[in-house]
Amino acid sequence: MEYNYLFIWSIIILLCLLIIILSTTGYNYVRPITLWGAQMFLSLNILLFGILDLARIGFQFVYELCRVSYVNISYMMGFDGMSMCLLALSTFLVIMCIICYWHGKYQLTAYFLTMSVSVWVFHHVFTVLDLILFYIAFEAILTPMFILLGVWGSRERKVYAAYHLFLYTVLGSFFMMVAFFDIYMHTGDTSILIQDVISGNKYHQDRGIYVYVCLLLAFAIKIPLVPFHIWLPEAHVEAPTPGSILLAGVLLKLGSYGLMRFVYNGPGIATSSSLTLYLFTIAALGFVYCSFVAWNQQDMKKILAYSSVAHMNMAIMGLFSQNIAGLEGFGILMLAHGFVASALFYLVGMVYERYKSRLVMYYSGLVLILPRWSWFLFILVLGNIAFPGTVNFVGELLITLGIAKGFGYLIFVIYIGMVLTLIYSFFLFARICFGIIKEPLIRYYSDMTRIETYLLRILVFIVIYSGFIPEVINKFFKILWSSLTL
Amino acid sequence: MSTLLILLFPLMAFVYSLFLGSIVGRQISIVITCGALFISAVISVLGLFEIISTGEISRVVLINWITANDFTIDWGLKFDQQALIMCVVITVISANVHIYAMDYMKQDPRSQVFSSYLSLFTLFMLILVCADNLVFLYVGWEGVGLASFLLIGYWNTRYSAVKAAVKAMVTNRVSDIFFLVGILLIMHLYGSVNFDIITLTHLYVQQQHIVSSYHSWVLLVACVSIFIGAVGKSAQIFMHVWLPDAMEGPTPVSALLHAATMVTAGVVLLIKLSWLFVSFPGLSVCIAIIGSLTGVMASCASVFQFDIKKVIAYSTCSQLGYMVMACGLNYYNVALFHLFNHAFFKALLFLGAGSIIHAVADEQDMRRMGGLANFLPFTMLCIIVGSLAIMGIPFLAGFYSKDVILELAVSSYIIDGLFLYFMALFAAFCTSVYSIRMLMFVFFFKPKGSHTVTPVEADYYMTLVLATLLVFSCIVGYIFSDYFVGFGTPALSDSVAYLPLGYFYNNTLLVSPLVKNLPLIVSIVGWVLGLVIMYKLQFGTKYNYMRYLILKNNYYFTTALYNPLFFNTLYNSIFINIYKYSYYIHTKTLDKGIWEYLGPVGIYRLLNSMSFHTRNMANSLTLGLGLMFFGVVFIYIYLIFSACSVQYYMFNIGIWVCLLGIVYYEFVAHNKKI
Repeated sequence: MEYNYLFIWSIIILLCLLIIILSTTGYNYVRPITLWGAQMFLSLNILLFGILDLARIGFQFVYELCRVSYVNISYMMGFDGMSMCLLALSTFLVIMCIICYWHGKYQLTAYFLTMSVSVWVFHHVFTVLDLILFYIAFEAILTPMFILLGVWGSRERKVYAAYHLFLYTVLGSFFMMVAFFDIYMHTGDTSILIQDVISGNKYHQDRGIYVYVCLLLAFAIKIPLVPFHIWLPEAHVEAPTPGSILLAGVLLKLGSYGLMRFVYNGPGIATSSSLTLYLFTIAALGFVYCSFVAWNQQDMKKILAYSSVAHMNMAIMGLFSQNIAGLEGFGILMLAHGFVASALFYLVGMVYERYKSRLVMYYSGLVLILPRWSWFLFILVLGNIAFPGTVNFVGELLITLGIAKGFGYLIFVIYIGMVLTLIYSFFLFARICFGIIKEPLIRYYSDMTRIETYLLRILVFIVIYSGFIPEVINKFFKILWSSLTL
Repeated sequence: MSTLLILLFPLMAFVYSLFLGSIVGRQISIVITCGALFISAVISVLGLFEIISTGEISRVVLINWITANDFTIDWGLKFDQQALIMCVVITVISANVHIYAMDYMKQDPRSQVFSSYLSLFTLFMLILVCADNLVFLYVGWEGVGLASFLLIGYWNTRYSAVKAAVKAMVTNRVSDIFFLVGILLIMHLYGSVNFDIITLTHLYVQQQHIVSSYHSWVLLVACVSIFIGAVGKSAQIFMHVWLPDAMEGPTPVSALLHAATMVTAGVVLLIKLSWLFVSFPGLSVCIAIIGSLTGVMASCASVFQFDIKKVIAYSTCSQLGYMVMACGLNYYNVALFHLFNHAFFKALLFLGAGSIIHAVADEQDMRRMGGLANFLPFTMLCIIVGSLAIMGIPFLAGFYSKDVILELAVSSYIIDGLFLYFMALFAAFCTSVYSIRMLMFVFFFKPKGSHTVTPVEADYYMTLVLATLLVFSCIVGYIFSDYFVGFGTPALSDSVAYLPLGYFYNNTLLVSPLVKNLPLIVSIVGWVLGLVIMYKLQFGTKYNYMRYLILKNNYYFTTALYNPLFFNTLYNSIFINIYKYSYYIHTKTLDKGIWEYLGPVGIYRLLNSMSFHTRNMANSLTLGLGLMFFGVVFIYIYLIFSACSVQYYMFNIGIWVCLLGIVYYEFVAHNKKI
């Protein structure tokens, strides 16, 4: 099994080399090189899906590159179903970003360099099996995002947004570092493989709570849970389309991934009973709150950003409902949101590229001039409201079932949020697509290009196919959830 | 397995017409769609006859949808008697409407899309009635809402149509999520969503008397939630606001969705879960009362409408009230029978109205019609027969089901039963009043309005459809009455709950002849009264007493019933206020206020002030700085001489002097100007 993983490793080395080459070549070569690199990476990833042993608990294809012996840190990597799915998702989204800036003019080499770096970092953050290395990768993601925002953002306010993004995430990461050092000092090891290290067995409960809260803060900022969510809409609005796609598709998943991997599975087990209820309530209220705020927004990207926050809060509710239905819903909704939200941001990016505005009030009657675009928007809005037949429905159904089993009375709080989700989604759709064309803004028309259509067809196919047969996603997590609820 | 074809043909028609319609041309694709639906209708009629004769229920599991460790949800279909009866209703009406729309939407450049939406709706509705578990039923439930959105907003450049579509979607969602909550609670209690398993578990639990109070409470909450879901979909009172607005859609849509099939989904749901509802007598009475209130409210409102489609829409609403009332009285088979009959004559009325609207150049206001009796004799015949059927004139369709509901209400021998009886009687009275009013306005008054075209009868296919439905409206009640409500019929006992006390006919036999015939008498009185009043209004002297009474004196009364009880106004103000306050509370105070202040803005200011203070400190030597200096000196002394056992208090002194210096510096010194 280790040999399979070596292939991946060699590709990563290749990517590293590519990055070096890219910085020197002209941009006629930059685009295909980056695209093919990322595509090879994705296809290897898909190959590994086939040989992943779904019945095995724990990590597979584990490979230790080197070991820093004097601090006892090992550069070790490995997969399980969850990290493999998330890695495939993020690689696919990076490919999407590469294609959507294919004909870009401004700082092309730097853009593709950033994309290569982000593939590399995403790979690390989902596969490293060491706390300190995870921390490093978690921080390193910030760099490409910061550059994307600052260089390719469209307005002056992007500086403020980048500042927000950096400030919040670094603040959270500081707490994470404290927690990891605490674990290191008390166990002498930082490997995730050794379950004892973070499962709280070696911890007194009082100390466990500090670690738990510190990690929670770090990941709550990344998810984001409600009081810490300010940076996300700001960053979404200022980011270019690829930035938004990566933010919604990968960065938000990172928070919930970390929460699942290090908090729920880690010191959380020892202290979960006392803090879970608070966390759960915060997530439920956050869901409703963000739905309300999304309803009030005028900017399409802000609506979608708050909708992302709301859905991620819902996923977190599934994680902390502490039964298997909720956990399964968490896994499914996380991926489903990755597909749907990034596709929606991509769509909004298309009209922004064409008509240079994101405000809902300037648009009307787009179904007459962008019929294909409107169809895709409609299908994805249906995904956003968890229409049965899309994969989001399966996720939300399982999560709400988990809530009904765990915290039944909160289901009526979530009820409000689910109604509001429909309201803002359909108001958005009906206002943009229906009605009469507003002449002053819409001067010409060009529907989606062929390549954009292909990309979105893939996403819509995934959303609907796995909505009909959710087992294609769910089977990768099943063993993980049963090991978590043992 | 042949019953599966009932669903397959609409699916095929939808896919073909939507994706290939623009390639093969709209005429061909529409013909194929109509043919597919016709075949589907034939198969479902054959299936119904088969199940009537053999009683064999067929079950099909398409795919395993969701599997967690303790439950599974399938895409399973169960073709029992109730499902096949609904299949017949849906496919027959749908096939007719498809054929009708072929003529009606002839001028529309996207008519193949229209018929593909109709097929999509048919598919989802069939899923809804045939599903064997609640979650798969929910798929159809949301699906018909979606199809309703697409079809109401079909003419999507009209703002009123778009508004109505979004309103229908939002109103339905409010109740749909209640339904979802009900599903989850039932799944939590019984560990399954399959109707058979739920029913059997429920009956077992009831028989064994092993119900804990928690269990019964949760079950009651679940039943109430599911009923709220049914209220939304079936446009009962409080949730009916979307139905009149939905008339913005094309008329075939109104006939198929908002009269015959989609709005009856709530009743179907109540019928499917009848075993749960019969175990809560109090809830059943509430259901019956809500049904009767809906009937009265909607039929009163219908009397005061001027839009011909809204008259029929409110009429639908009131007939749905009858069905829900029958469900609340625990006579689910009667509710199903009324649904069955109502579908045919209401589709007839709507399609006849569509024919009229076409004839007078898309004019929907009845005040601008009139005198059409000479131009549209066949349509007039259809509307008259439909009206007589809805009034319950003997031997037409409505008679067999509506009168039974009234008799059952009065023979249930509870005080609520008498109340329900009189409410329903009043609704029946209003029914005949608005029927005759509509007839007079459209056909018998003097011609009004600016007719730029000569009204002519509809085209061949539309007339064919009207004739078919005309025949059905006359005969279905007679044909199927013994099957549904015949004495001691066991036909529906597999799928519908009967009262534990035995068959209902025993009680109705004891009702006195006067009470039995009262609905008919009241209907005829209403008809005659309406005729007289309308005649006086139109042909009497200009300043007669009746005109004065009706038009001048009752302004508020008529306005209140024109916008029935101001529900729209109320809901709009609630909605807008929620929006407004959520803006002030969530967006302005919290999101752009407190969270930002505690977050980036606060940190920014803190860092700014800290850097300012540090700058001050560096620039000016003050007492605080001096104290800090001495404090640090003390600490150094301790650290250096700790080996020589210097007292520990030296360290403490150092810390305290340091703190004092900082405090002095922070609160006193930095206020001075540099």
